[in-house]
Amino acid sequence: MLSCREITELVTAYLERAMPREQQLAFLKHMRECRVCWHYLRQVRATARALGRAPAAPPPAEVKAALLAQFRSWTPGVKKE
Amino acid sequence: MSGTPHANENDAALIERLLAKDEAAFIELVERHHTGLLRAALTMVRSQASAEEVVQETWRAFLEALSSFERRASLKTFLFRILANQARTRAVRDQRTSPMSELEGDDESPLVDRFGTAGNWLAPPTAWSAETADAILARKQAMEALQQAMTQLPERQRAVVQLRDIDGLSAEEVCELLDVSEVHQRVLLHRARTKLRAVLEQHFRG
Ligand SMILES: [Zn+2]
Repeated sequence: MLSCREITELVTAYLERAMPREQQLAFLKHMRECRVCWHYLRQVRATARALGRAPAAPPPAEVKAALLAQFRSWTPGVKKE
Repeated sequence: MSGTPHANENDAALIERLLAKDEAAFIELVERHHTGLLRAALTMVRSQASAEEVVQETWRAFLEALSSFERRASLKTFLFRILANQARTRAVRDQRTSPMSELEGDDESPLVDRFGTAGNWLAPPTAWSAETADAILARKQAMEALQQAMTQLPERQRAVVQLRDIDGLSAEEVCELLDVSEVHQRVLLHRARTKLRAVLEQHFRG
């Protein structure tokens, strides 16, 4: 039986699907039986997802202009097929 | 930011447009990835100025390499791979032999005091008022706290969480970019997420 402390240490391995089958079953069993750890897992997952969905600031206009100038002076090489 | 880990049709179409010198296609790509590249560069070199140079060099090198891009990887992976190479070169020039060689001090888990000797919760986390990404995103203060907490993470943890959770790269890609093992990558990600969740706990405690 995994303890709650062990569960919190395994959360990332679980989310990464990097767990041996047997451990995964024990992890899921604990989740069914322990509301606290179930909430904990949801909180970690929501945190990670929120990070990924935060809108990124667009690059400043002058940066875009400089890169565009670079693009304009670029000559595509011969394509390898 | 999101993306598929492998080359897809959008990438193929975009590459065709770039090779035809379609400026709108280039701007589209810059808008999609420039900020992510810059944030990733900031985890690999010392200063904002170095990071900006590295990203500019990355775009230049990207265009030079584009016609020989083999399309086994996604454009995004290709870009970040170039970035890592540029950052490595830059770090050497800045006399920082490995961009990630610093020791990680002060790395106690935020959960350290919260368990009894049997590994049971002594101070269990309570349900949050909301436990979805949408709810977190909707709370401006919480998102600001999260961004702030990112800057406080030890360097390697910050790099991994940046590339994985923010830039959406795969574990495999991050291992390659940062030259860390699969297990180490996961440990770093785990520590970072544990701390970031603890920061949000202050905002969403039910
Ligand atoms: Zn539990």
